[in-house]
Amino acid sequence: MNPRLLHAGAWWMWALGLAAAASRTTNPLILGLIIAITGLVVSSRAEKAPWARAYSSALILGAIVMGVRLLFGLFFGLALGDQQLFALPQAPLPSWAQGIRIGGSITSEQLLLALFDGLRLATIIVCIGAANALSSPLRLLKSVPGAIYELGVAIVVAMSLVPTLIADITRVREARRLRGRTTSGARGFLGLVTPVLEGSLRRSLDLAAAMDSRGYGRIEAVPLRTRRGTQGLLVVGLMSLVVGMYLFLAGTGSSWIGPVALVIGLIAGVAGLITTGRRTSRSRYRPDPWLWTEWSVAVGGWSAAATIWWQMSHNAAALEPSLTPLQWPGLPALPLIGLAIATITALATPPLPSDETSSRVPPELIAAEASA
Amino acid sequence: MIHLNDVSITYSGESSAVLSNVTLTVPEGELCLVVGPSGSGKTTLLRLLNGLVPHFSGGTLTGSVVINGRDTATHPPRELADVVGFVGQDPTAGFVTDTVEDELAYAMESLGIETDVMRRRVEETLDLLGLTALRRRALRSLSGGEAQRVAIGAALTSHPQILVLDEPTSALDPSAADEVLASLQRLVHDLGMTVVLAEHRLERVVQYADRVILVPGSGAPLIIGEPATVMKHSPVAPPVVELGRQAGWDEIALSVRDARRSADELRQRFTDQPSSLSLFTVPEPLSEQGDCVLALKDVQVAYGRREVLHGLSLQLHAGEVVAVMGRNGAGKSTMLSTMVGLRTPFKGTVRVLGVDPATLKPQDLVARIGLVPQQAGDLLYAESVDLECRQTDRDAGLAPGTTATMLATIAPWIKASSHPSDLSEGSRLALALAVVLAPDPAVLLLDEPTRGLDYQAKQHLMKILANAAQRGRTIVLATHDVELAAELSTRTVIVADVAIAMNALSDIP
Repeated sequence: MNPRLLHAGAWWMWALGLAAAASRTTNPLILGLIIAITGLVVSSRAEKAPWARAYSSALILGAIVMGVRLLFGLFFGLALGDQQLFALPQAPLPSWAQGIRIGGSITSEQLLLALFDGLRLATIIVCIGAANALSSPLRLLKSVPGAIYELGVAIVVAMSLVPTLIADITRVREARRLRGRTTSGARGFLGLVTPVLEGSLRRSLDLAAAMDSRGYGRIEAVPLRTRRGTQGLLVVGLMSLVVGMYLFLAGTGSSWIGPVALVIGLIAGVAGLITTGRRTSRSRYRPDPWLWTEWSVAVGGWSAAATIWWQMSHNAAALEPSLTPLQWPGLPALPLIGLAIATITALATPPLPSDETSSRVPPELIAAEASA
Repeated sequence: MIHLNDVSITYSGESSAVLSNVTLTVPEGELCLVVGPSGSGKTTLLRLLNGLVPHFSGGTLTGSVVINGRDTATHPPRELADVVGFVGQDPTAGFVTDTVEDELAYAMESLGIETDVMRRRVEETLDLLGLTALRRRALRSLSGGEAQRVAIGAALTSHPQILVLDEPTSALDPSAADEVLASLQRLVHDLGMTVVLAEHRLERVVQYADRVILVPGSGAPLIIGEPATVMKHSPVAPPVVELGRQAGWDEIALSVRDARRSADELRQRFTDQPSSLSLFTVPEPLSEQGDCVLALKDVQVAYGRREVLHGLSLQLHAGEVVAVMGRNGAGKSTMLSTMVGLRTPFKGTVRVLGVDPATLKPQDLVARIGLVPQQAGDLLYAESVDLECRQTDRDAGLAPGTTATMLATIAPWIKASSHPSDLSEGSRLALALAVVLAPDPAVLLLDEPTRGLDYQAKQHLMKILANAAQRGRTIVLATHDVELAAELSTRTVIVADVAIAMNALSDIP
């Protein structure tokens, strides 16, 4: 296969699929596998670019989130299980606060519950980090519909801040060393904050000015009635999407409201986006192609989610390891197949082009266009 | 095309106007050069032309700026994007996409231009600026000159009638700068485009300009006129104009070629009575006599898999001034950061006064070797100049007041209470220099020190460096500035294709 970069949306679909899978299980084996898969794919399919650091940042953030969840699990929350590990001094609470504890005895059940729950959150964060690392935020922007393009730019600028922040930290640390100042320890770290934030603020302003000078945000005049109609469509669409999504993911409520709300939301949302899109007169130069590889990656990611949902409706117990009584979690076969599909489709993508030949468009396609 | 009518601009929080009562008309098809000391308001004048001032900067604008019939008071920059192409000081700061082709198309996409028209214009622009080989390159992999040309190309594809450029050649090596200027020439001549550009290095551009706008600074009225007339009395003038003034020519020569033609009489005078025109006394080359202070032996540095320096061996002695030259991206900056121990070579050794700089504690490092990076401001982060000085004394373990004294000898005009980021480019460099020089390191490295400096600031810098060299300090300058190298250096090292291509005493032709 000729080296090329995949459509940014494909990687986002893939990673969101894995994140959706992770959100429905606390089985540490499955979660660990998901993290391992993202790591493998990022190491072989992420460009050597500033945003590729998003993955390692996500790993660190995930670890922090897990730590915080663990602390909360240890000190607060419900009393659970009887396998006491050690005891903390317990704050006496009035009778109406029964069931809540602060401190007290710590059981291995509580510890594991907090740990697994933290791991789930961390996995979701790592999946989002992987999506960030695998696709340039700028390329993603190319595929954003015209209506929310400006919003998209704001988000992309904010997202691209993180990797450049890391580059800035390196630069400022070097400068500090040149000044003869220590760069390690808490004081060293505090000394970095102001110059780094100042620098990124200045850069954002520069970028904003450059974009505005090049016509970003030009709009056409739209009659008031059309505008009102569009706003209505968007609000209705968004609300039913939110409701539908909640019912769908939470798995509660009656069976038909969720899907119906989702469909209504999608239709209203798409219609709203199309009418709003008329306001901007943007055109596209060589849009990123969406070929069968993109389809396979996106479907691969969501097949992991689909198998988890299937598992949930048939044997949900395997997804949530039993804590009372304590048992070693099993690895159900079905989600394993889904994860395997996600891994294979992601690794079967074309290899990365080098910086010198960086290209989104496969050469065959360019040749075809030239002859047409 | 461009009409400024009685324009004054005052930034918020400032008591005096940056520009006051500016009335200016630039007709179509002119190449207009904006000159002036650093911090005089050149950038403000340029940013007025597409509405970035006041829409982005804030401040109060009186009078009117009308560009091609559109008033910037009612038209923000985006509404002028089809008329004015704007290229800022740092091209990479304005890149929105990630490959060359996409970047060229960006402005057209915003303007909603048809796909086939976009294709055609991208091809035209690639050819016009000689970017064809770069079309699929990632923007982050471009060298300074390439990035600048891409930025110009990106401003051109929307076919603006006016192109505004802020110091387009200040970051470029001489040949890349010539390429950029040649492209601008073509735009003016072939396409009839109106070009307004600000520059510090006038020697390359002033002969091409149809008109010069001198911004004297501190709200003084602009001086507008023919290049030769304005240059005669300009406080910023290239060396060739300086020569004309000293020789007392009526007709100021703007290019070296013109100067050579009018210099017959002058040449005669100097053959009869030989004397040195040099402004400073630079120490005699004593390369092999002084002690060896900095030794690189077979150093190899790589970023990832890309080799940046290969088999670099170099010995520098006390009192030498070494100019490191070479194209953009040849590895000059890497060489300096390797010397100071920020990059660790994967092979070979670096010794500063016999010690590997990477192993030194920061405090011991600054007493031996100092580096002023390309962005001198990186070194500064205190709230005020005074705090910056005191912090340096504390960090380097110096007697209180050492840095302040150093600063007073280098740049006595800097107020102790001002914020480092409010200083002009030249003053900021002076402050960074004071910070690095205060611990009195044996070796002083400067990366592109004259970038963005006006002539006066540069003269001043050269004096400071010549002084340090006379005290037996070793100075290494990584620079594109041939004039600086010629005036100051005793030895020149040329880096090309990741290795040293030449290492010779500067006097040898």
